[in-house]
Amino acid sequence: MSTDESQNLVTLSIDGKEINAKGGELLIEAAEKAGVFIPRFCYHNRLPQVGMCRMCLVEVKGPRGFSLQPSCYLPVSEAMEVITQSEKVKKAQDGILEFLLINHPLDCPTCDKGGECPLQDQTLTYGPGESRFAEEKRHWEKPIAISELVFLDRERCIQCDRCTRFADVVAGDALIEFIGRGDHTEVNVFPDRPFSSYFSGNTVQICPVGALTATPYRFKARPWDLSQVESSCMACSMGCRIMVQSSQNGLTRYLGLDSDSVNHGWLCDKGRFGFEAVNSADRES
Amino acid sequence: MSTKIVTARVDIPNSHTLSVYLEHGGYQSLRKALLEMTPEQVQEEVTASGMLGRGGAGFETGRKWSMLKQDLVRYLVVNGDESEPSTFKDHLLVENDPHQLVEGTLITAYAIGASRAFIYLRGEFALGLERVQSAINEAYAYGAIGRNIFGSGFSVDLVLQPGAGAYICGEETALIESLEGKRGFPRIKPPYFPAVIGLYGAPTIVNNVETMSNVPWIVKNGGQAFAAMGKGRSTGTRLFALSGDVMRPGNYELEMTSKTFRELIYDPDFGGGLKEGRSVKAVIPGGVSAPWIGPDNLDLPLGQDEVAQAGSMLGSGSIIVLDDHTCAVRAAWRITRFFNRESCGQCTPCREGSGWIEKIMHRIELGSGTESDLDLVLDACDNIAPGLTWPPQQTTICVLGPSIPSSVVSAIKMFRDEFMVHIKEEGCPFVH
Repeated sequence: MSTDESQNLVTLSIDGKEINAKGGELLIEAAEKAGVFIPRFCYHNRLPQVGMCRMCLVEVKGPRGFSLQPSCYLPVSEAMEVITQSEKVKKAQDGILEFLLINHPLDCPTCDKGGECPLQDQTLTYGPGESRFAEEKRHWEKPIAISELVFLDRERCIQCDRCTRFADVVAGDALIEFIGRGDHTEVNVFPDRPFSSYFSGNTVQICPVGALTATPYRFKARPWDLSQVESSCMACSMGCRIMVQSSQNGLTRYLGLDSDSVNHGWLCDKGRFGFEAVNSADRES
Repeated sequence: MSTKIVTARVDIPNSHTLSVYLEHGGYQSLRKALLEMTPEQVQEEVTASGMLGRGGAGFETGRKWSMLKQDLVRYLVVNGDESEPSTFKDHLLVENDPHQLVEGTLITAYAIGASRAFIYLRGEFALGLERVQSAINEAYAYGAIGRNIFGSGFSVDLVLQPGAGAYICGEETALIESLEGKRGFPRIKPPYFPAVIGLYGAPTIVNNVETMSNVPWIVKNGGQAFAAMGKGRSTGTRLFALSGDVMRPGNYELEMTSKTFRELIYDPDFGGGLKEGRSVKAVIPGGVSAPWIGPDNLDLPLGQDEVAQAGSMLGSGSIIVLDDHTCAVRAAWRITRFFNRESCGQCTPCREGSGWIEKIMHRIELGSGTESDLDLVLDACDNIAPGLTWPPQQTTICVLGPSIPSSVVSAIKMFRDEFMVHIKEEGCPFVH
């Protein structure tokens, strides 16, 4: 195995620094391993890449010189030259964030995602300081219950396709889908069919904004107030790795942790939301 | 009188029926190809013709075919999802000469070794769908489609699929997704060019209706005869869909580069000029995705490279004439609104950018714009297609994104004064 891997190694340069990576590995991952974080929204290491958000654009040298390309879609190759820090990349990132924010509500203070929100964090790191958008934002009824557990706020949604991809590819029940076109594209359930997946909670965890929220955690705590400890889920014998989070001396949330040999970050809804039994008034013992 | 290729039969009564088509030499090219030529020879003729794809991108048809990965299962898809505003050339061909399309498709299927061919037709073409389907049925009964065609040993099936009303499904990879029964989202290229991974994962050639309709003529008369028409890379004839402020809008098949924009617009046999006392303000030369050209470019010949050198594109061959009574701001806004509605919503710059630019343009047209809005629009356009160059530098998944700035940037560059009048007088000075 080890000889195979060393044969398969390629050398590329990122921002002038030479790094080694596995041939065929995605540039966004190879860069991260080498300590260069490329911002992203739609990219998730456990989902097939779609290249939709365009946040991960970097300059890559091709036959016609450097051009902007999505690093989540590009396998590394020998002698590849990549620039992640330049005026051109900065302008592209600024532009994408500005586009994402024009229709995104400024309700961070009341949003459950605030404090652990990739959109909020990456706007602070990479985004423009001010908005030039002076028009009316896009409006949807907010939030709507798409199942007994999950609420959907389409105004916050940035159409990254993470939840819909998860439902389709990982959970295997595509009960949520994109509807409509253009800037009126919305994620929603099909008529009269709730998001009754056994794995619906994962979509809440991977949503890069506060578009999907789960009933047990809604308005219960702020991320920076949570204490947490790593553990194993006890709902069945699988032993999924979890992060147990608590606030004010009570359990507030379980998050799936990415354990390569067990659960890849995913949890079933029974495991994820079963903690409510612990402090339930109906509990007998 | 110049040679007509694709429109040779369109004015004959009942030209859509098999009997009329056979009377006028129909299916002779298919017989010739299947019985007298090898697939390679057909490909060679088409390559020799130098025909550029008639869909919009203008890629050489023969070269495209030669790029097809030689897997066991290969498909041919005919793109008839003609939905570019002002483009109505394929509309004429599918309604008035569907057998020519079917024959061209079958010859191409033979040439590239396709096991099945699909015609994806715009869903709004009600009559076209009816006529292509009955042409397919007639051709099956005649023995031109199906098993062992004309005793040649070659078999192929031809399937008609109506679109469901999305502009984006004219983009070849979105069309393939739609044909597979999925949402019309364009695929990311590279690496998945249809010639390598196309329909159902198999190598696929996607060609336009007009391209297919030229193939029977090329097989009959030879690629050299086709290449003898036109000049440079622009060989053969093209069907120009002329619309806008001309007296005689319509489809005109012309030998490429044989006429100039001015001749097409003013010749009494073609556009017939403008209304009394009016002059050309701008021309959109290749569908609304193309940057505008000014009256100073009217003497450009109607050729692929000639228009490209002027900073625009011949695209789908649809030419819109805007006269001096047209508001450039309103025209650009309406085109942006189209792109906003038709953006598939997949990637951020196109989805969000189109809506934002549309809103600003509408505001300017209504009279509540400011001068800084113009720079803002240009910068937002730059964020969709960096550099605002044509051909575009792409940051989006498909070319719909970079098409959005075309009209807006053209309008601002060519008619900045007019924008300023809207801004200063707080309204549109034109009568609508």
